[in-house]
Amino acid sequence: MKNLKLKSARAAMDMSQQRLADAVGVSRQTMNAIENGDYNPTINLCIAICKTLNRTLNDLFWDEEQLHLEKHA
Amino acid sequence: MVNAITDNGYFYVLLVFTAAFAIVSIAAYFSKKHSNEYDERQTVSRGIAYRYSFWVIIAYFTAAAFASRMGFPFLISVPGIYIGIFIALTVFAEVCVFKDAYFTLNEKPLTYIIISGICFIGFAAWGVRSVLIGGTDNEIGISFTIAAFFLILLVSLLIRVAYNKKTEHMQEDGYEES
Repeated sequence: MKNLKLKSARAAMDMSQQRLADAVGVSRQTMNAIENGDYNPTINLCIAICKTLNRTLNDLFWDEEQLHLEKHA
Repeated sequence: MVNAITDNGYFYVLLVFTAAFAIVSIAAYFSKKHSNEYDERQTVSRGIAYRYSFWVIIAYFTAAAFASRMGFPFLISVPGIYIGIFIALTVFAEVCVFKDAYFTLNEKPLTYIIISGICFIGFAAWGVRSVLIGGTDNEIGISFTIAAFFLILLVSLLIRVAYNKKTEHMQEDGYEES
């Protein structure tokens, strides 16, 4: 599942994928894979991304709707 | 015996290759750039590549053993062994290239494209020379095997670099999947 929250947070700070990738120490292709939902980052990488974008883990990586669906499944 | 070793041109090729490898390794070790760092996704992808190449080489030598018992010993000859090893190396390299896990964070593709091109030309030339002077089957087979590996690597690097350049802006804007 695509991580649109991450993408929009990055866009809100006017950062390219390459810039964000350089800031957190990964390749641009890795950042693209995270945004497209093709790769699940480790918690350390999630924290580094959140710190760079000045957001919380809930803001970027927690899917409230998915959690709600799973809870009531 | 020393003359027999030095008369074989491969001795000098190996000497030059070993010296070049040692120089590059020492330079890389003392380089202040973290040229050996892969990010976590690349590490996972490389692990997958190692697994695929491991099973390829197991399958190849199993097939080679069967072929030998059935009267086709080429696959366990010296060139045959090189073919098996370089098929596994090719599988590893190709998986890494197409999963964008071949280069570390600080490496530039152009360097590897140039090195692959030079190695391909060098080994292909050595193979052609061996054919023309009536060299041994080992020299011919090994030279062309290694040349084929570098050619495949070169082509795949060019394709992947061109694809990444072409889709970089589209991926940024979200118009195309990676």
